[in-house]
Amino acid sequence: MISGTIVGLQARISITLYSPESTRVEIECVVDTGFEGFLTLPPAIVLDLGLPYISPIDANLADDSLITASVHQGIVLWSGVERVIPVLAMGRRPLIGTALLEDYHLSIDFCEGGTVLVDEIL
Amino acid sequence: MPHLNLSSEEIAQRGKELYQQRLRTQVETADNIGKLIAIDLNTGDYEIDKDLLAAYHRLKAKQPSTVTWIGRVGYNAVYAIGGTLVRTAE
Repeated sequence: MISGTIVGLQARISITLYSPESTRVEIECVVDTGFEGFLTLPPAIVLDLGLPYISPIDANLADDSLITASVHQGIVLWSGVERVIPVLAMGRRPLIGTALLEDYHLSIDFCEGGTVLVDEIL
Repeated sequence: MPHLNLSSEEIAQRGKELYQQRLRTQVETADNIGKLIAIDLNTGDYEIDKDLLAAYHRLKAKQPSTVTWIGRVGYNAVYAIGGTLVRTAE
């Protein structure tokens, strides 16, 4: 189970990331159900962690524009399971997308300080 | 981070051109629509998988120095970030 909190109308949870040298870093992310990928991280964090570069990809933003972003490979500890996932290097606020949430249960008490829970689907 | 002397935008541009001109008609099958395609810009070789990293690593295993672009078969982008992917395959 992963738990987080509502802060300023954002559902935030912290996840653990590993660098290729197995350094552990905990990063607070916003759960974004409009993002169909796994995870975005600010380019500076991707650089600090030394996440291996994969490829450029196109992404479609809320204003319907297409951007080219770099995909890197990251390792995340997700509900007790280490997962190797594509990480987009972009933006300032790390985002967790629905590909990471797929096959998990997400519940949110949407009030300031409310509980965000990611758990197994029963 | 981008390969050789190409910027990410140049790789993306070349990848899309290669896809449109040489690969689109053969890969846009009902089974492939929506999957990820990793394309070697040097050889035109490609790998398709529902897992982006699996497609990439299979391609990379065949040609370690590949310059790779990744797209989503039949759609205009790999991920929607607040937006909506547009299906381009008929």
